[in-house]
Formats: sequence, structure tokens, C-alpha cells
Amino acid sequence: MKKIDKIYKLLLKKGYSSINLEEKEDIIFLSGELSSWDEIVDIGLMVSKTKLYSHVVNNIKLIGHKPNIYIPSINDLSLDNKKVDVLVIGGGVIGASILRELSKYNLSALLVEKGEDLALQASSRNDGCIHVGVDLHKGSEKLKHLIRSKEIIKDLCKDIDVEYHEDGQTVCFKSNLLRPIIRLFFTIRCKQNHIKDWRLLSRKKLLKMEPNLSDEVKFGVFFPHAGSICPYNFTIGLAESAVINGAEVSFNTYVSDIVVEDHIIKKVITNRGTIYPKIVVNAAGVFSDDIADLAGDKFFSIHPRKGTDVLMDKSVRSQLSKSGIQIYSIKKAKKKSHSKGGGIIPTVDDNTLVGPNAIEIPEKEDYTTSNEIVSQLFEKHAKTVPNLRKSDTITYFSGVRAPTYEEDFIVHAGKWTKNIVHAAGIQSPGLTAAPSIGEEVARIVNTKLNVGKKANFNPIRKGIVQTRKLSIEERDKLIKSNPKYGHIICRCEEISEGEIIDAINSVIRPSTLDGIKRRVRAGMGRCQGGFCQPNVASLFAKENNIKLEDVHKKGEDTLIYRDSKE
Amino acid sequence: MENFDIIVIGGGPGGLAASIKASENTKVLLIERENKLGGILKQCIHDGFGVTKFKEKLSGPEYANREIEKLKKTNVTVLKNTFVTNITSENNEVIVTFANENGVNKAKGKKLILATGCRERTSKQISIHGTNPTGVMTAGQAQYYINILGKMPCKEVVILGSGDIGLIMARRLTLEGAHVKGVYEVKSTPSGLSRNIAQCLTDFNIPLYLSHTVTRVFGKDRLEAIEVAKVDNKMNPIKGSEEIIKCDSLILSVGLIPENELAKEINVPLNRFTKGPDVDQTFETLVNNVYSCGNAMHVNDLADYVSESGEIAANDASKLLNNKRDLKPVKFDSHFGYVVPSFIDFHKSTEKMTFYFRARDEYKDKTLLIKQKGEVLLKRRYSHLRPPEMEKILLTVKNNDEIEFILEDTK
Repeated sequence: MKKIDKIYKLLLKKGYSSINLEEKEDIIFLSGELSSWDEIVDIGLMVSKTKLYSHVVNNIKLIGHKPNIYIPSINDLSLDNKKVDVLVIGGGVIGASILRELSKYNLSALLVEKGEDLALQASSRNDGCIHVGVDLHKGSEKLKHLIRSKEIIKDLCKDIDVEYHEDGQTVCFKSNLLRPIIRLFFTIRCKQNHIKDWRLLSRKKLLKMEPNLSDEVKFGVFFPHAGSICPYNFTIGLAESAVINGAEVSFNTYVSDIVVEDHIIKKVITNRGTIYPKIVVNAAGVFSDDIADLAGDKFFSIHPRKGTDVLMDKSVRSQLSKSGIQIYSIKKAKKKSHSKGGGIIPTVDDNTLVGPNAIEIPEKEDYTTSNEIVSQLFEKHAKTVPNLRKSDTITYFSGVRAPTYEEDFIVHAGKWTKNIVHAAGIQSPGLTAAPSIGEEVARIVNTKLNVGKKANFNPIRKGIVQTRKLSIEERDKLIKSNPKYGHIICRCEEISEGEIIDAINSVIRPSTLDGIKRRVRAGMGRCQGGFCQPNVASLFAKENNIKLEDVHKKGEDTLIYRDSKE
Repeated sequence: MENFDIIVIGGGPGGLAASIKASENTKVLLIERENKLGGILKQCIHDGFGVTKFKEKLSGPEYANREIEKLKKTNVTVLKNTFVTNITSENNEVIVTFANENGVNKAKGKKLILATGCRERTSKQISIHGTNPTGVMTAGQAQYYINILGKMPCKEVVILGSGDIGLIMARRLTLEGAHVKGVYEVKSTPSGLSRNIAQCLTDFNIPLYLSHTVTRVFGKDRLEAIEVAKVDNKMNPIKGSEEIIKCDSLILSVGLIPENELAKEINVPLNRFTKGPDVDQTFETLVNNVYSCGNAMHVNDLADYVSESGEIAANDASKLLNNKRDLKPVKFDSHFGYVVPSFIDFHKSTEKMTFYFRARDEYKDKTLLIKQKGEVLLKRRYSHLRPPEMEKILLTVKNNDEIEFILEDTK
């Protein structure tokens, strides 16, 4: 039987007779209409699981669903007729990492991002975990890039002055009966996944690390080399390092069309003019299949998977150990899940994250939260640490992961279109893997352009000083050199006027108050900017020489002041 | 490092009153993080302050200025624009590390008075879900924009919570030309003072919807609408009662939280009812030599009481005593929201001690009994008790033992 007939039979058996199938080389295309998004996703996963094709393109439409996608309203010609060697689409951690690696080569690179800043989507809406990759499968792109990244990420963070903490992570188990199996499983898995350091810890030892552990936890596996990073600061650091080395970044820039002739991209149409790149890099996250489609190279599909995290007050941290905790029950381990069960995760800024969960959704930019989900997260994780209290919540947020139906990264050149490179299907551990993905994409680009590396690449980028983390002597000295570092504006996070001014005038300047918040945390604390926002707004207006009335909180239509006399 | 007898942290009404009182016979340092003294009073331009303390109605800034003028006549060392970064407490002394434009410095004090005030509960702390748009703000934030900066942050407004700041902002926004579509309150009774309901809502025809809450907000960048719903007697939204209201701003007046981050640094035990420190009758916390007052100790409804508590704390602190403590608990039954202080120290004077309490619910015709080992120390009748309205009593206790507050139906 032909491959496509097998798929047809499989779908028929499940009752899906109205799905159209088409194959092109090793890719299967599904189309049709259904009224349930879960069914659409299930079909995609089911077809992928047969492994008859290397990728599934799932074009089945959800009846009645109209995608609600943000498109910037600005229209100008600021980029019109621009010729660049490489155009990177997407300003997340992957795009930023690629841009930095590209800036090591003798080429011109431009990154376009439709939002008003870097890291607005999945790259700021995640838990910042640096994984060891124990859950990854042999031979996967995920594992390959994770192993490489773990070799270079520490030095990279030092170079670009981004905080990296390595406090470890514990996976907890609820039954001692599992111990022999778990020991065997992890012995094999850790060897295979290049994890040199891991320890099986008894409850007694776990309690020394984590005195508040629930009675249910009987033993755990500790990975000392798991860590955390601030994902948006990492993204900003990477992009700024690229800009220092000559790369360019353009915000509010939306790719509306890509003109392809004879399998070669000729030009890229944006709301800011037509760009003529030699090579296009697709790092568009949840939109990477749409960009591939515009480029005539859609051989995979993204199915958005939403997750919600709760950010807890810093005071919670002091009651917990420094390392992250994940709980695993045998039930969950059996059920095949492509996103780990979430946990209690420390951030580099001493907060604690609870979550995330995973829900398949049709909408790529649905960042809404709900009371039900947040309550579920607390119920679940209170089992590990019972004194986790909802009242210590600072905020909650949702992000949308960008998996393919194969649930693996795609980091390679176009299938049919010759001058595109995809970095697509990036989900967990995408943050950890970003440095390696950047290297690989830049390597592929160089095989096409053959330009070679620059002699004068400067790896060093200086971040903004964090006065609250300095010693008394260092802080005193800094203030004496510039008294503005002694004037605290954000009281919850202890951020000085000097730091805020540094953020406003940084290499990639923020255009909104939230941009300042991502860079220096002013407004990130327990009062959520209630006290400091007016003062930050005044500083922003002054440093940018604009009127207070023109200061935006986040994107378009978020002016802080609304004159009632209009 | 300079030595002081007393270090006061926070230059609002509590810290001002404490500093003035303590300066009568001790050397005092007052640390304020903002560039002006007065705390939240600076932005409260409505009147009604000072009726108890000054026997006249003042605006917030007027009240603050009277205290600031008094302070100027003392020899209190005042550090403004100064942020306390760390406190340590050992050997009956506190060391406060602080940063300002001169650098990082330390001061040593024999006693510490924490007058750090409170902060507003945010939308995420009351489980508001949906999108995360611009235009959802606390009442105090809106008040700062309008009264300090002279800027309007909103046009079409819904207010959630009938706390006093919310009520006052409903009036203020209306006077400034905004359209206040209504005040929604999750409880079945208003949270603010009765006089504010009359003067801020009734007089301006602003509707008050009791037993309602905001269940969702809409709008990607700017708030476009909210969903409100009726709630049942357990404050859970009733399915089917949802209604969408268009607005560009949602202003929250949903409670205040005593700010005790510094107190936590020196392990001051907090009270789960007040969210402020456990204190004795002089408002000394359970950490010796560390006092609390004002809204950091418990949320007050009048600035006058905040000033009063600062004076009580300073009065004892400035004696500079180092007695051992003999603490006995102050208990209360389930009719009370809380009683302050939560302990009596029998090594200190127990004459005419000031107690503050709030009822847990609205009650009619109740009798307060304060008992010690079955003996009634005080009996007082109340025709009405409401949680938003704090009650104050003076009490003398002679015998060294715990006491209990009880509310009974008046017969």
C-alpha cells in the first residue's frame, strides 16, 4: 500500500473522511475543515506518529475561527530598497542569537520584528530554565543543540554580561518502589544525553535542600547543572552584542509578503518598504510556518501550545531552596507529553515561578489568563511545597509555544526555496538551545554566502549595572561617581534613577515603559509599578525629549495619559 | 557611622508624629525615600483630615504641612531621597544601611520605629484575568497622576471596590471631566466610610453596585471593556449574570497591604489578621527595640489615628529602656476582624492603653466585653459596627494575665 493510502485508511478508521491528503516528496499535506481544534491537532500528531513522512503540514481549518493577529499600524518607507546580505525575521531569543552569530561574519544583517521591542512573545513568556535535557530523545535536534549550548552558554553570558545561575533542579517522585527503575532509567538516559552530574537523593537529603517539601515526595533526582537565566535580558544582550558588531534591528516591521521566483526569494515586502536580502532567516516563532508559506517553503506546521506561569513574591524564595523543583508521578510519566509538567522554578532575580501548563489553542497570540488555570497550577504544585500561597502572587502571564507536529526543532536550509534558512518549531528547551541554533544557522548562511569570519568581532557587551546586587563598597563608589545611582525610583525592586536612565539610553533603546521594565525591572515588583510608573514615565519623556503625553506603556494605543478635554 | 537614640523609617503621618514626639528628649534620625515628607497625604487633596488631632477639617497636604512645620522646630536629622537597603538588629541595637545621592551609609540606633505605611492591592492579587491591557490601575496611582502631576489617565471609568480611596477618586475623576460609569463592590456592604458614600457617590449620581465583581478584562493594548458579574454569598461569580461594560480604565480600590518588607528582614513576626507586626500596647514588636506604627502596623481609616500610633510608639521608645518583656496575649472572638495590640507587656504601664479593633461583619446592637479570667474589665454598647469603621478604646488592666475581646448581642 502507498504511504498516502495508509494515512487515508488511518483517518477513515478514526472517522475523519472529509480530510484531504496530498503528498510532495517526504511531506504530507492535510486540508479540510473541522469544528474542534483538539481534533485538528490530534490528527496532525497522529499522522506524524506514523513516521511515514518527515513532516506534516496541517492545513485543516477550524470552522468559524478568524485568526486575530497583531499587525503594526505604522506605514513608511524607512527600509525601502534596503539591500542586505541576511534578513532575520523575528526578534525573539532565536532571532537575536542568530543575529549575533551572523555579526561574526563579513556580511550585513538586518533583523525585523513586528512588535515594538525584542522578546515580546515566547522569549519573555517562559520560565527562564536552562535545562540539562534529561527528557530529550536520542538523535533529536533538540538534544544536539542542547548539548552544544551547554558547552558555550556560560562563557557567552559572561561576554554579554547576562546573569546566569546554576542552582540545579530536582525531579521528585512519590513512590520508593520506583527507585530501582528510575536509577536504571536515569543511568542510561544521562549517559546518552551527556549529563555527567546527577544524583539520586533520598527524602532525608531532599529535606536538607528543601525543608518545606510535601510528605508525598519520597525521593528525587538532582541535576546540579540545571540553571536559570532572564530570558528577555538574554535576548536583549544577544541583539545588542550583534548591533555593537554592525548588525541592524528594525521594530514595528511586519513581513506581509515574500516574492519568490524560480525558488529564490527576490524581495521581502514590509510595512516599512521593500527589502532585498540575499538570504532570509526564518526565526518567526509561532509564525514561522506562515513565513515559510510566504516563501513557498511550507513543509511543516506550527500548532500553538499555550502555557501560564504565576510569578511569586520574592519573600517566597527565602522559604524555598535555591534550586527548582519538578514533581513527577508515574501516571504522568506514562502519558506522552511534549512539554514537561512544570514546576516551582527560581528566577535569577529571586522570584519564584509556578507553572507552566500546556494547552493546544488555535490562536497564535492568545496571551489571556484565567482563574481556573491559575488555581489548577497552585493545586498541582502545592503538592510539592504545601506552603505555596496564592496570596503571594505578584502577577501571572501566558505564553505560546511553537511546536511542529514532529515536536522537534527545524534548523536547516529551505526545502524548496534556496535562499531561506529556517529556525522553526523552537519550543522548550529552545531558550537553552538558542546559542547553538545561532551558530548552526550562521554556519548554513556562510556556506551559501562564503564570506568568512570577521577579524575584529567584539564579543563583549556591557549590561546595565544592578546597584542592588553590588557590595556596599562598590555601590558607594558608583554613587559617588554618579549620584543618580543613589536615588531609588522603583522601591519594590530597588532600581535607581541611574539604572533607568541607562536603560533608556541603551544600545537598543526601549520605546515604551515596559521596555524599561524588561531591561532593568522598574515596575516588575509587588506594587506592579503603582508607585514608580509616573516617575519612570517622566524620566523616559525627559531623556527622549518628548512630552509626557506621548509616553506609551507598551504597544500602540497605550498612552498613559488621556486628556479628557479632547 | 553616626549614632542615634531613635531611627524612624518613613516620613508619612506616622513617622512624622513619631519623630516629633521622640525628639522631645532623644536624638532622632528620620529616613524618607521620597523627596518630600508627608507620605500619601501629599496626594490626598480632599478634606476631612485632622478632625480628631487638630479639631478642624484639613486637606491631606495641610495636615502634613502642620506636622512638617512642627518637625522643623525640632533637632531631628531628616534624610530625604534616602532608601533603606538593609537593617540588622543585635545586642539591643539596630544598624540601618541606606543609600542616597551621597553614597551608601550606616546609622546606629538604640530603637527603631517602622512607619513604612502600606501599598495597594493590585489587579493580579484579586485574580483579575483576561488580557493585560494599559488602563487597569490602582486608585492611588490614578490619584497621583491627577493630583500631583495634573494629568488625566482615563475618560470612561469603572471603579472596582468601594474602599475610601475608590470613592474619593470617583468624585475626583467626575470633577475632572471623566465619566465614572459605576462603582462595583464584591461584598454586600460598602467598604468605605458612610460619609464618603454620601459625599462622593450619592451627591454625584454615581451608581454603586453591591455584590458585583469584575471577572474579565478585554483589549490587547488599551483596555476596551470589562465583564462584570453578580456574586453569590460566597463571593463567587454567578453564571449567566455577566455583563460587558465598555470603558478605557478600570480603577481598583480593593484593599491595602501593610508594607513590612524591612520588618521581615529582621524577622519581626507578622500578625495574620492585620498583616502588620504583632505588637504590645506601646506598639513595640516581638523583636525588642523595634516598633511599628500607622498603616504598617494595621490599615487605619483616619490619618489622625496614624499620627496617634506614632506618638504612642515614640513615647515608649524614647524612654530608652531595656527591660525584659512579660507578654500576655490579647485574644478575640470570631466577631472581630482584628484587635491591635495583640499583646500586653506587663513590664510596661498598663494604664489607659489604646486598643483599636474592627468588626468582622456589619453588626447591630452589640455589646463589647473585655474579660480577664471571666472578670469583665470593660463593657461598651455599639448600636452599629462596620468593618470599614475602626473603633478605639482605652483600657486599664491591673492583673498580669491574658485578656479577651468578646462581642455579644445587646440584651
